Amino acid sequence: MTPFRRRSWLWARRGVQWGFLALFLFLFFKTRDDGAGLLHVPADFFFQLDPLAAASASLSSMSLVGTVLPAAGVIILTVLLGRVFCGWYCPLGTILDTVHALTGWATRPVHRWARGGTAKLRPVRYGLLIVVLLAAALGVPLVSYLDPFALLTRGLGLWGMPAWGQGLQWTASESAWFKAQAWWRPLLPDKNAMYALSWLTGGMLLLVILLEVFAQRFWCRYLCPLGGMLGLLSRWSFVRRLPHKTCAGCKAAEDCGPRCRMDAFGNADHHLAPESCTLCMDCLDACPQDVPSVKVVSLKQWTAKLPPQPDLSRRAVLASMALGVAAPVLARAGKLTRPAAPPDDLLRPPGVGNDEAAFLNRCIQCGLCLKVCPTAALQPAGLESGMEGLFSPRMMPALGGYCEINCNLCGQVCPTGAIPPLPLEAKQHAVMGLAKFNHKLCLPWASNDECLVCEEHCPLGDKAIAVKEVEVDDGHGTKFTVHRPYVIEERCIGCGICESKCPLREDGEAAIRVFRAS
Amino acid sequence: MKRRDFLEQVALYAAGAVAIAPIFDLDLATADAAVGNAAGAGPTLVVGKGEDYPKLVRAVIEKLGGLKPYIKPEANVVIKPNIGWDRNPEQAANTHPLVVQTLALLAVEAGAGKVQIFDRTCNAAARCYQNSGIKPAIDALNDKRIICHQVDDARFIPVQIKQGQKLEQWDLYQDALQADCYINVPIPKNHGATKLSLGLKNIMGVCGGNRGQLHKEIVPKLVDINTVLRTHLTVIDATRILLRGGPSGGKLEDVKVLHTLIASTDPVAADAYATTLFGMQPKDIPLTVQAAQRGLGEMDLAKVNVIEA
Repeated sequence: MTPFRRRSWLWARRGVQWGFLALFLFLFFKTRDDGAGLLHVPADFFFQLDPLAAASASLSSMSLVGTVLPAAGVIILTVLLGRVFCGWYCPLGTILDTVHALTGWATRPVHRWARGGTAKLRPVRYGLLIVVLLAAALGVPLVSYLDPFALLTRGLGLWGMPAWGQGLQWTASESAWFKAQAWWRPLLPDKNAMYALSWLTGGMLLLVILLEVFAQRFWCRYLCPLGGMLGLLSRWSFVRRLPHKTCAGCKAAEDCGPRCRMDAFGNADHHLAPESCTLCMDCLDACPQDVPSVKVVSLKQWTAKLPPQPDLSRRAVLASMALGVAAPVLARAGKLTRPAAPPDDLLRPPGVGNDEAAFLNRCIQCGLCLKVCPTAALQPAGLESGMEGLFSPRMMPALGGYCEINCNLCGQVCPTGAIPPLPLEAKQHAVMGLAKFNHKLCLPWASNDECLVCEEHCPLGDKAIAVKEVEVDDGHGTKFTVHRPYVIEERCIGCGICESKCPLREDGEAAIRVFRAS
Repeated sequence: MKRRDFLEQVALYAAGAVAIAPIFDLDLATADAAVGNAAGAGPTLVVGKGEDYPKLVRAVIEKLGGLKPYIKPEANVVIKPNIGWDRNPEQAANTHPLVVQTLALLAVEAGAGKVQIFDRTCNAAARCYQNSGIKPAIDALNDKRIICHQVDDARFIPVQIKQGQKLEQWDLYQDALQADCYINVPIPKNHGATKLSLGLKNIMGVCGGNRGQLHKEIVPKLVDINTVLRTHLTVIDATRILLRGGPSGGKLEDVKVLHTLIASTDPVAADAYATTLFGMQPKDIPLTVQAAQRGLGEMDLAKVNVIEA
């Protein structure tokens, strides 16, 4: 293969990487309310391709989640071509490569120092894969902690984007020149939202990126369970790098093996471990000998030369399985999983209903619904619904958002159907909760003052808040009328706009709050 | 930077102080003269009916003397419709887009240098601007002088209310305060707290801060705010009115189609006339009564010169 042809493979890979990262960022940016409540892009495209999320959600919900079909396409691609998904398509991988390109000059000494030690971590990704799948099968889905797309979407959506917006606003407040410019305004996030737990979600993404200090593509090499899954499937791929007879004793051995970003050259005969190779073509480009070293093998070669065993000892497999079984059991015993009865103000997106278990079995905590919600009513839950509920969406009017009556974007965006894609009319009748007054706080009830902001904002044609006129005494003999609001329970859908707009909410607690319906 | 801010604040406080001077001055007398009334007579109110809304708006404004008396050349005009709710035009929660669009065109034809259209919405702003039809109607004009943008939270500034009975100060939108000509374009609606939401209530759309807190003693507070923000012209979009379930509405059965438009330089007279469309009397609406008592306008329709377009 001529140097030109080798170089063109490199550029092809880079082109596809940039293309898919651009696609990811474009879809991420477009995951917003355009005003008309339509999503013009397949916002969950990358999650549709994610076999790990599909497997986990299917196992924990005991049903075939919708994304299984496109994800199967990725599996077939991997079986035929190897871990090309990791090397060419994964946006997190591309981000890590970019970080390395920018910081490699500084981190290379650390990589050299850490090389021997980190190589021992290679089995960890298989271990994490086993834990994720077993825990899911036993009803405690933990995939969201380790799924690369979920980490990226949440990190960018809940921390990155708001931080970016705050940064732009701050710059505008400090610089009159910047404030007068118009070109940066389309780059602002679509809403002025702040999210709970943003430092945790941002921190998790930053940690993955910071691990690059110790080795290039540290996450992909040693931790990513999706990479582990695709790695195991790559063992039989048709595209391999086969050692040429001139490789032994090659003077340029330091150019290809050590250059491998996935540390896939495990042994002395320059044989590549296909479960680590992401087909980045770096070694091809580095090879000074004009040999065709990466090629599609023929069927005869494929059967004749089975790759060596993956670096996963039987002991490691058994240990992982034990952990995968123990984790949910221990979590339940330690009361880290969801409580028997969810907290009474834990509200879920419209259409989810009361079955917490079914919801948590399907939700992969991808973060898309949190990103798309136009009022940031959907916020990431903490541990109030257990370990498996961390970052799952909960509707929290207490933080200022509420469910817009004419919007059904969360259902449109959800890749697994954990939030069902309800048509608008059905969504407008979906009950999320029930509003209740606190008469000790509510101004007309507690101090005979006028208010009615809640009634004003109730979006239903036949409002769920009605007003009764009550004659009261001002304490000095003068009688006057006070308008006291009350909830018409059978009408209330629990959208939360009343709680959101209550003037007392910003002082600490709204006088009307939405609670679980049953 | 800091000094400029300070000077701006001082200028605006001064502007606020000037604005609370008696509302009706030479400008109004000039306008009245244009329609043939002697200065000192009651305010003029024009009312028109028609199904072609652009034509209706033009006819009513023309009968009032056009917009030229209120718009100096290259003036900075603010048109303040009701864009508060995520509702479509048929649901009569927001001002009709064609009314807003025609007024914007008339302002530019009268020589305005810039026309700004905005409202601090109740529902998510992008949804309200889009589904009310107002932003699409303004974008369709493709005129760089006519701008329909969401409000910028950083542009609310505290204004002292010297004549305030309940409020000493409140945050108001800078662009509204700095307008050379402020045209208020409300839609008449039923409202739980104030009985009806008309023109004087529409000023809430330029109020910053925790607006929920304004609802305690809302009537005197709204009059307070109306004393510092001068409304040059009130155009009440009564093409549709909301009889029940306001101000957010939602049911078409609660909407009454009237194809009517009311215009006046007297905001109290405009509200008083609009009240009659609901079969109510001006004295039934506390906001109208208190505004009249405090000198913001005339509520006795017998003293208003009502002209039909």
